[in-house]
Amino acid sequence: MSRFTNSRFLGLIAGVVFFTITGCILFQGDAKGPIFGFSKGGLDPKFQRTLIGEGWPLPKYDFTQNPMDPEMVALGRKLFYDVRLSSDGKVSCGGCHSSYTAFAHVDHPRSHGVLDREGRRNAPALMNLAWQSEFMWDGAIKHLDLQSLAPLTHRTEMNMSIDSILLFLKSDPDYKRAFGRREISIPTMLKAFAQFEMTFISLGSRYDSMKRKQVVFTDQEHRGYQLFQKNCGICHSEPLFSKPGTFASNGLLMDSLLHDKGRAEISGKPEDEFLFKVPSLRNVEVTYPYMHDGRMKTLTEVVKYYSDRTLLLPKSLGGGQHVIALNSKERVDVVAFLMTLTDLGFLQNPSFQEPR
Amino acid sequence: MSVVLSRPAYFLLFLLSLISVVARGQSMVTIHHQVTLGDAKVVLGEWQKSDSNVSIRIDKLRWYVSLPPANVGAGVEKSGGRHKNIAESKSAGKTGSKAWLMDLSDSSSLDQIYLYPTLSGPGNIKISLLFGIDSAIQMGGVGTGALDPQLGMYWTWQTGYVQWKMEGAIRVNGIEHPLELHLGGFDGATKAQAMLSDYLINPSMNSVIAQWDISQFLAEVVRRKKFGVMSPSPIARDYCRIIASSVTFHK
Repeated sequence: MSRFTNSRFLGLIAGVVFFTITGCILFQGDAKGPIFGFSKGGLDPKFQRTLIGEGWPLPKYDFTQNPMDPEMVALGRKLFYDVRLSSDGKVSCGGCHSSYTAFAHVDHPRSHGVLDREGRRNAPALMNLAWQSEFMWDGAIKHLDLQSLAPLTHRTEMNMSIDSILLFLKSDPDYKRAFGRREISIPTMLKAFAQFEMTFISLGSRYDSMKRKQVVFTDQEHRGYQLFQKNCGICHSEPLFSKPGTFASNGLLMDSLLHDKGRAEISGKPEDEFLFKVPSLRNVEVTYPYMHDGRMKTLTEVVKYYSDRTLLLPKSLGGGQHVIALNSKERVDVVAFLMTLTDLGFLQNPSFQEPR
Repeated sequence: MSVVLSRPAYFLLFLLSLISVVARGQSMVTIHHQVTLGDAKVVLGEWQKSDSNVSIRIDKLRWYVSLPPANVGAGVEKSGGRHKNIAESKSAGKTGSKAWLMDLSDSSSLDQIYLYPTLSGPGNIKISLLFGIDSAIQMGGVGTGALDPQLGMYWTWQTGYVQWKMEGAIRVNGIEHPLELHLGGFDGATKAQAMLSDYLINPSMNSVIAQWDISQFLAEVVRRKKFGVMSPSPIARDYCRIIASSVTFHK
């Protein structure tokens, strides 16, 4: 265990060194400071080249439509943590998306909104959002700029009307300052949310350090990695550990009380019943509980669920069956590998926390 | 919600718009949109017969008209606008498309200023309009102006604009039903945008009427007995296509 802990610490150090060497600018968390990974409104070209070299795809987000700006990021951060954007004044985005847990919600299987109303789904982790084009478990939202409208207005989440949000923003002196010369409008607010959320870039895990040849996996981690690639990688593809735009069924039976049909609720297609977005497994160690309805509490439970299962792959992954077979020792190895996806620098980044 | 401007302000904006148009070598025609049941104009809040057995009361009716993607870059640009409905979305700005939000409760929103490049010789101008918002714009992020989600025409729980929002009540054979039709959809089998029939105008014309006769649409609503449609679906798509097919242009 101490070897494991030490090697994770070394991985963290190696990650910090990596970013220094590549010349990336660390986000200072101040309204006028540079933004990690970004320059001139979009991804820093050098940073992007580095990512592409590591197998990352190009971002899906079109930065020309919403150029990154430290002031907008700061505004988005303020909005993200503001409970006054909920009808009972008690719920903020950050209430269900905690930076310490990769912006997931770890307290209950499903998140609670205003007046303690309980939703039907587990708040997903938020990271590397510029590389995604479909949001929510069912992919209902197709653009990051518009994603925040859903929780802001949903009756079991923040339960606000667009008009009341705008009225509040226009009447609040703090927001008058925070918007600066920009028009206080819903589009500006939505773009600010998107900008703050796009700074949630996680690529400093021990896994990343291993790929950069800065650390070497333990034997157990290495075995787990190989098992992962063989059994899980088809849906949770590296380096994002998800498959943007893919919706799949993992064979979970529908909760008879929640009656959640997943993607079919949006598409109306019977073949989409019980398909859910394939989530990223980065930082999965801390994003418990698991699955779209938070029914599983531990990684061990999740891996055990998959360890003797035949999955039907969606057409987007070639269709057919995918058989997973893991014995008890292999399951432990896979969990050990999954823990290498934890990015402590990301989880503890003060720039993501509630502004003081 | 509507922008109220004084008469001098209107006049000034109109003048600026005209100067801008002339300077760019553009001409303009005003398309006046009107909604009818047969030949009778629809009046908000009043019961009107659409059939011997069917009456309707429309309390709210708003809809989108936009330039189709084919028109992008064809020199059709915004007027400089005297009203919020003549607006450009940020995403539209990328491609040059434009969208107009019509609101039956706001008569000024029903006058759409349509610009076209001034012809150097004889010829006709083709008016091409899309009922709804082009898919590329819907997928392009948050819009401003007529496409600002604050205007209440955006589904907040999923991506997409409501292209036809009609609320009120309908009586069929004496039985009253609430009428709530929020129609739209831009993806696959639910794609609801539909082209209006092209219309040729002579450059000497200053105005045109676009008549939205909703009788056939209401007949379909009654036939299907679907008085409440709130999300993209094949029914919403079919309804929108019928609405679009019933639009005619007149001098």
